[in-house]
Amino acid sequence: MNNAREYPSTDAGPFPAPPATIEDRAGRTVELELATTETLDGLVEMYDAFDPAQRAQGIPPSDPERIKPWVATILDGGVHVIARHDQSVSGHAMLVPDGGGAFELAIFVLQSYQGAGIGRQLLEHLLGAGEAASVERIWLTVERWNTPAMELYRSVGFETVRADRFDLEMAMSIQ
Amino acid sequence: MRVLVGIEGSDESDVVLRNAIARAEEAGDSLTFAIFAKPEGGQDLDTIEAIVSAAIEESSIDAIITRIDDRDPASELVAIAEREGFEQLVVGGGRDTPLGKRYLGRITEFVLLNAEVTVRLER
Amino acid sequence: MKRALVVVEAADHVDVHPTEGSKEITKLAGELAAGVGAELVIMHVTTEQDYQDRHRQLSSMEELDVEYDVDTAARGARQFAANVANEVLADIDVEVTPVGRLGEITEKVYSVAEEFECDHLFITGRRRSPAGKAIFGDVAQSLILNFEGPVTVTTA
Repeated sequence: MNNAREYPSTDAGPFPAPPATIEDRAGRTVELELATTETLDGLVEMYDAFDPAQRAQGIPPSDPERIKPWVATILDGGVHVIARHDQSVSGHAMLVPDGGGAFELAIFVLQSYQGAGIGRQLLEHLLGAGEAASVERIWLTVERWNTPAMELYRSVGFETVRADRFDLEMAMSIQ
Repeated sequence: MRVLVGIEGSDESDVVLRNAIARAEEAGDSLTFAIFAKPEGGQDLDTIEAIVSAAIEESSIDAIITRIDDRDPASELVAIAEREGFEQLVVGGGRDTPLGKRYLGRITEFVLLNAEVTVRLER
Repeated sequence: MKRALVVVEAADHVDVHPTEGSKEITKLAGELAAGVGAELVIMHVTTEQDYQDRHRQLSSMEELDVEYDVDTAARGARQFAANVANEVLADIDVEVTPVGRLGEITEKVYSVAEEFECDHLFITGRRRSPAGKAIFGDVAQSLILNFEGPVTVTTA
């Protein structure tokens, strides 16, 4: 995106890789696994059920008809880890190639599964899957007022690289 | 043009209110004011509504006032704009820190990042 | 609004095709300006980087014997702005001044706004990140924060 971005000089990790079975704080058994093209429908179903009020920076798209094309586009490359409970997808974390050798990270957890520790597990296993796929540089943007998300990102090794803007940028290095 | 104007009862909103009305008088926009109280306190909804109604009455335009009584007014503002098919969303274009450095309020930042319609930052 | 400034961008590095967002914002600004009897200044900035790249490419084709210098580049940028206006504003009755500059975008926007006394800025702000998130580039963020008058941003 922007070659002026600086990445932390020390690598974070190592991180656990999927597949894994975890129990969330609500006692639900959740499978963390790599997404495949067969996951497309399950992901579309999850994003259809996503509370529009919790959209961030325009994703998932508000128009239901745009959800499937969006999911199909991002699934086309990169690294994707999903959380699955009772046969349905409850979370999705992704590393999407930015065309400049680095990857953008994004993560979504369905409302009814939030606050149970799934986000952190999903994030750590995504980074583990990223290590296995030789991903080295990762960045993300987060709305500046989204403190819980920023705290989570910081705790796994992200550093704020640009704060003088309204979509704050964080970056990390792994491997 | 159907324009939705976000007013939160601050100095910044005074500018938005005055300029949105002036522009509507000039261009014939149809205005809806969505008013909401700042989460951190300040003017309450009745006070804000009184200020907005007075400004409308002094002008040559007719406008609708709608209240947003939501924990997350920014998100509701964007939702109204989309749901009701407004063509433009108008919000405040920033405040200055004591040092004179301009920064955007949370509502404005949220609207810029999340609105599907054209956004006008009034200042 | 008396005179509005519209910043248009190219979808390529050779200033041939405008972005869809640029056409959209030009049309919107044109309609608004026509509605209130205001004028438009439509500007395009060719960056130093694009200029250098083009200069290098053209110099390597000696047989063409073309002259591509800073004046040619600024004229090209102006032509690009004029083309966008012609394409998008053909049916709108508004007075348009196309302007082209070579250099750093934010700096040129401020100097042109001052030179032409523009009181309203129209830009295409939002882009999409690889994951589809709405983001703003450095130029848009800076203009949104620092332009003195109102700023209208399309969020395509």
